[in-house]
Amino acid sequence: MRRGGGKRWRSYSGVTRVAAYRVACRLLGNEADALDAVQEGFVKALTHLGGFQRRSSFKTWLLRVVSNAALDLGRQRGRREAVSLEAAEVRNADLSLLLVPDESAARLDRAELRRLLDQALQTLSEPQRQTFVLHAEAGLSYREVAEVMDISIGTVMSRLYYARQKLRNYLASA
Amino acid sequence: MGPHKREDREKIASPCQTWLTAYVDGELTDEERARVEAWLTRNPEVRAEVEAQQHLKALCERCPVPGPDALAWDDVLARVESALEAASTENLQPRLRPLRPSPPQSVALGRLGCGGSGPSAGALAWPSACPTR
Repeated sequence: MRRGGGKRWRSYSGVTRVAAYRVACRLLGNEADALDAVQEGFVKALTHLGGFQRRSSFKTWLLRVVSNAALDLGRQRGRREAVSLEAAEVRNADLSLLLVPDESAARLDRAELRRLLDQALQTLSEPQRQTFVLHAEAGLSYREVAEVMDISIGTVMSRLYYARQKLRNYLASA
Repeated sequence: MGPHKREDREKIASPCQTWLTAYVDGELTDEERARVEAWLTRNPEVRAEVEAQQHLKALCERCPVPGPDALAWDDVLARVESALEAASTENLQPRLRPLRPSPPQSVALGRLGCGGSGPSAGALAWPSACPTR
């Protein structure tokens, strides 16, 4: 990419950059790391546009690069330790409220709900977490998730099923 | 095998379980959804499972990740541009894990491996214990 011509990417990445940020944020659990992952992912993607083979949409390709960058960053920064410290702050919350299918969960504000979900997400294996986040946070269809992760749609469904089971069990037992 | 391939010890959900997940996510055709709903009316315990999944899904939707702070986002964009320019001028490209090309999806699925006349052979055969035709 030539100097001065780099700003073109802003327009075509605008459609998906918020989704990319949300995926990274859910995978990593905090804004600062998510922004670093998005930056890393965008640079990788844009310096390797030749790797985009148009078998999938640019959005799914970019989400693939960014979510992989987020997972790499999480491994480098010891994500689980960071989350366990953060989780201590919400230990007193009544997590069982989350599983009651009525309005009682409304007692927990959204910020607290997000923290609890981030905490619960860390109980998932990396493939389960990535599958769940790409579907739930980026709004990708099963087929798109399968394309991003290079797995079958059956595997997507299986991982989503077990991811939800684990999340529910975690929230119920906390 | 790459990091995202199915792990050797990864548990595989049963066809019934995956159909319920697809039902919750709205990934079934009208015909498939009708069959699942007929199944649910005969199996209250399965309906409870569906409702639990729906509740968790709604919970996630209630608290989406907020967008980044505008200033922080501008900073990211500026850093991306700076990195791109540096890569261009210095011919330094980050070392990358090669992206595997996506293999053609063998699962036609209708959307879930099912044609108009019901689940096709392959990834998702309609299990006998699941909703019947």
